[in-house]
Amino acid sequence: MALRVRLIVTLFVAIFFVGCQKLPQNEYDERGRLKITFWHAMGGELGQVLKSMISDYNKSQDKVFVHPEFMGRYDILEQKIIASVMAGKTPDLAQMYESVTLFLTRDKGEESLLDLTPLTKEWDGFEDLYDVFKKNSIYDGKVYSIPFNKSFPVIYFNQDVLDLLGETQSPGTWSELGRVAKECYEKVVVDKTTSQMRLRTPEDNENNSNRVYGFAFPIDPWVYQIAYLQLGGKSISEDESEVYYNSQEALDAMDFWIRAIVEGWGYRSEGYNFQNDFGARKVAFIITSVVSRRFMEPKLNFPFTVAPVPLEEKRKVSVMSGTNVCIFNGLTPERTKAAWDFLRWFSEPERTAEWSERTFYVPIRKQALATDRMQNFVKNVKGADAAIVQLPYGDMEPRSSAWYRCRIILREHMERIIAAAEKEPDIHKARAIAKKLLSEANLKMNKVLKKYSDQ
Amino acid sequence: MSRSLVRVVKSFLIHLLLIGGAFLMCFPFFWMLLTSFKSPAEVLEVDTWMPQPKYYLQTEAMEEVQVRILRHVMQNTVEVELLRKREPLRQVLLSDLATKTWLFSNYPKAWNKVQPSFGRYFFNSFLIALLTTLGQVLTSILAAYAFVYFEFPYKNALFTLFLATMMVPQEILLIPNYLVLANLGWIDTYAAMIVPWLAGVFGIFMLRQFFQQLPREFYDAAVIDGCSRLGFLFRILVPLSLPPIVTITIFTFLGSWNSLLWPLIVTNSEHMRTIQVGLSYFAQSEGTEWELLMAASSFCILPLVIAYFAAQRFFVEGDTASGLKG
Repeated sequence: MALRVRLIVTLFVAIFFVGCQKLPQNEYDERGRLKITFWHAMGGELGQVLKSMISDYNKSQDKVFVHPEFMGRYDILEQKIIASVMAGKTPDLAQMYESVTLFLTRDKGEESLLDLTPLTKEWDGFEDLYDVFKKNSIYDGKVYSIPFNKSFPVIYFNQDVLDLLGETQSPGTWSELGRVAKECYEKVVVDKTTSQMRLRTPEDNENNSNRVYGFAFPIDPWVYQIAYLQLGGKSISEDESEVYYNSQEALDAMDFWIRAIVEGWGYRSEGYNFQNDFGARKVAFIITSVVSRRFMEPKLNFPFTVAPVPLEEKRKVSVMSGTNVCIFNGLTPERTKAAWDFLRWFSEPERTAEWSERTFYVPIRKQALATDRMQNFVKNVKGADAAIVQLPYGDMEPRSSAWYRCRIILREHMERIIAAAEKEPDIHKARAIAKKLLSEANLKMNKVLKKYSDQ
Repeated sequence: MSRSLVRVVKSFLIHLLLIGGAFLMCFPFFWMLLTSFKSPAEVLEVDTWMPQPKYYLQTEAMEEVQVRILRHVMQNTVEVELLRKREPLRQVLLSDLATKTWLFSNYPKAWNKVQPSFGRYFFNSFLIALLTTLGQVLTSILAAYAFVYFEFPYKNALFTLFLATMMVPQEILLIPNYLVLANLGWIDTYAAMIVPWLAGVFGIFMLRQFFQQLPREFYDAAVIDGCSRLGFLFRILVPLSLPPIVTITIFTFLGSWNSLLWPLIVTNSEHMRTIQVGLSYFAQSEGTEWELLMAASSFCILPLVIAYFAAQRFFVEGDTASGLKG
């Protein structure tokens, strides 16, 4: 017994001390190239594309070796970036959302990130960025980030449904989308015997066919805000002290989702289930990120179309999403130069075109559209330009931590509005509840903004 | 109705209930296994339980690509679309198409998809879970022993303080813990994934409650017979406390094996990552590769299932090994 215990303890201590030892890490690789570290959260297929492009960069020159390190998820990456800054042990580059950049530059009041302004002045690529990306990279007059994986929402259509309904082109406005989605719900079914879509007949019932919903959606402030801005709404005041979600525009924008629920042609789904439902032909139209196409395409067993997010006449606008890459402050000049060299390489028109072609993220440079690769991509892949055409009128969400809190409040209230619509068959009453809840959300958001501005 | 018939009916109903329960418990595992043999498109077909025949075409580049038959052009010729290939539609002979139903290839595909390999992730997860469990069981036994059998100042206050730490969510401690480990230079080491979990309040609490139920006379008798304090602990108390120790072992091992957030926070390099990080590679915010995730999940739970069946007898014995009889 005693011998066994002693053996276990010895083994435990031995393994523990071996485990405590950190493998020696060299600043240069075996070919004498400076090793720099890039933290990112791109997994799966997208991560493989990123790795392969970084590998191309590493092969393309003999001075720098970029070592990508995968951090699993955006929220984990965010926590880790903040912790590494506090510990003074940052990587050289990291992918991050604007709120983190803002936290590390403005809110934190520390020079945690490198001011890229002097570097961008000597780089012709910065002026070639789409306006929305330029605006997105500048914080209090300084450039702190370079756009990385940027996307827009697009509509995915089941082409069979459009054909059955005799629609020659995909709906371009919210009202058109609502009309076609409703028509789909009323007229299209999936035959249980043949598994094919067809028009409903008087003999159809639940035993021989499945109803096809027109529209499915998650509770997502991203797409709602696009509809709101298109109707002339304004997200937040210039000084970020006030929001305007108690306005008529906010209520009108919400009407699409309320109608979908009350009239029965749409339903809400949890998380990304609506993408699976689209693949399962339970729903005909969904709006989600253009990048989801990379994951959905192999699963779709029917012809589909991708089109830009619907527009209204009042204001032509869409809202982008995605992260940027920042360089950390306090690196040696040699490391800073290496990190910047990689960022510039990744942002070259040919590279951003390749990134876009392989992932469906939008290219960040205007010149990318003129490359042969991009021209062929748009020509050969149906709907490949659905997000790209939104670039000229793209806008962004507010970037501060305060807005991040407001977004959570907005989402919670959207959820309550949809839940109320699910129980309320009278659309007027559902709208009245929505009006009340949006006013409540607005009040709460303004309180949060005041709290942040007082700090 | 005779008593034997009542007994048979009762036994039948109990077994029916147990079979139903077992089926419900096993259903997610059956579903996982079935999904792991499907194609991406099949995964979403709600009416299809079993994998269905799929058609494959060998291209000029000697690559086998799944195709979708769009229509029959002639008796033996069909028009097909190459899935995941941005190529024009093709007309091919039916005899040129290979048919596959169960896609065993999902397993090697999932295994090879991560870097450096699932083998490395298995090793890391196993080592970390094993050492964490050994450490936590040992510290729990020692701490609970002290709380029950020894008197020292502020004993109860200290125990309450221990319990209070259970109420602090792990997320709040992430950054402070990271800072401590970074200052120790332990980031990206096994120590970072093991040391913070070598002691656990749950284990201490559970064993303390169990030790308190044991008759104090055991201790007094052992001491009178000349047994040392450690001797009593390891010769008498631990063998008597196998049920809670087994429970703590299972909980700690599973907790460590399933941990995702902590390994991601305290490691940077791929060769230090664990099984759960490997699985997260298949589920991204924009979409999930279900068939590969299910294949990877299947081989990831395999060691646990084998370990469970191998140790099942021990678990049952543990339940009945207590010295408290009558």
